Amino acid sequence: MSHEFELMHAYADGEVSASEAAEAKRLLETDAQCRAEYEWALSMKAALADGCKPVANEEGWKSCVGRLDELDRVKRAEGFVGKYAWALCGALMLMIVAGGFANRMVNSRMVTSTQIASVLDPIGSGVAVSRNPDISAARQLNLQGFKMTSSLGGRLDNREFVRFGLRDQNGLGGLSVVVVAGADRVEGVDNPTQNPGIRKGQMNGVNCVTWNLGNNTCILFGERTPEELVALAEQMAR
Amino acid sequence: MLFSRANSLRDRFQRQAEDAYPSIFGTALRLTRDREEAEDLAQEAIVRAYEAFDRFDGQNFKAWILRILTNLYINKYRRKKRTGLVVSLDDDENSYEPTGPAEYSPDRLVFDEMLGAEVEEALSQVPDVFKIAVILSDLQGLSYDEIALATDVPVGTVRSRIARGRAILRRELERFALQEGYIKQESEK
Repeated sequence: MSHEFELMHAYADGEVSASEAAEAKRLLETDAQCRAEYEWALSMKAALADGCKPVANEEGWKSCVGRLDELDRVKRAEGFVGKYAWALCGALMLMIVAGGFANRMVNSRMVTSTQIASVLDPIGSGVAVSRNPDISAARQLNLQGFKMTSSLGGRLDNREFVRFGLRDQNGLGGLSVVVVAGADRVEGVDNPTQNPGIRKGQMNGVNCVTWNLGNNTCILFGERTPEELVALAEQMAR
Repeated sequence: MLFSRANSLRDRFQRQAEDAYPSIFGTALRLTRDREEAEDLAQEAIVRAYEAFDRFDGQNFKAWILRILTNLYINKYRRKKRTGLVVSLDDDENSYEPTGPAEYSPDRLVFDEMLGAEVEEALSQVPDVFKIAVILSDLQGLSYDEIALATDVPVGTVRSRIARGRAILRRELERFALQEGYIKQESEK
């Protein structure tokens, strides 16, 4: 009977084909059980329609609208990023290149500690050297009263340099002065001294001071106190 | 230009969704039986519908969004609340008992006296698969074809579920009617 009963419900819902409608009508006239089922179907439909109303929920709807707004904002942001991604990437690249260029400009006149190490041991580091150095900067140094024990020159990453081994007026050795052309400071030698033009520091555990001479920078190393080195530097810069 | 097109899409969606919202929320509430869960379910259905609105065929918005809601409920909430659906599926869906005995026809006045809350309570006792079909048909006015699409079953199964769902609903309503004294036991007649 289940087919007939289901047919009665479908007929009550108006969900039957023409042939099924004819069959339903015949059953309604001839079968009491089917007729009762049809009545029950209508009755249940009516009870549901009367008893279960649509449910208003203003707050629920407002929060839905809020979610839709949020979705729109995200879509707009994604759309903007998608549309201008090439421009954003370009700007980022430009910033990286500009940053690198600026960094290079700022640091281009700095002598690094590695370069100084190469100057102090030019043979081991493979720096091109000359035993007869000739740079104008070296001539600006006032080496009166010092005795030159050695001299060495060459090129350090396209910058000329000269290094002299010296003894002071008292005949004490262990002094080296390096002049690097086209440089204006030395990495890691940045502590102030009583002379504002002279900075002090240490390299490879040896005290040193640095000062600028024209377009060049000079570094004086020695087994001396920083104050003694500053005094010697002042003498050389005179 | 792009924004104005997007805005008009949003406007069109919001207008239709607002009209359908009482049905959407009502269906969600009757399925979940929990106001907070119903709000979440309704909201999720609306968000999904909005995201897919450009694929809506423009025919019957309410049927379309109720289909989304039903699918969400079946897939998501069923996992959380396995009880109703699993039991009803195990309980042979095709076996059928008539809604009412042949010897008497329903007295519609009895059901007219019932309050909405009692009908709602009776409906909540109907297992999920039947309840979904009955709600979509009798409360939301979807056709059998639309219900078949929404629940992903053949039309014949929809027909069977509706008939079965109403039969269970009737039993529940009669139980209430007995409790409240609207009707008397057969033996008392």
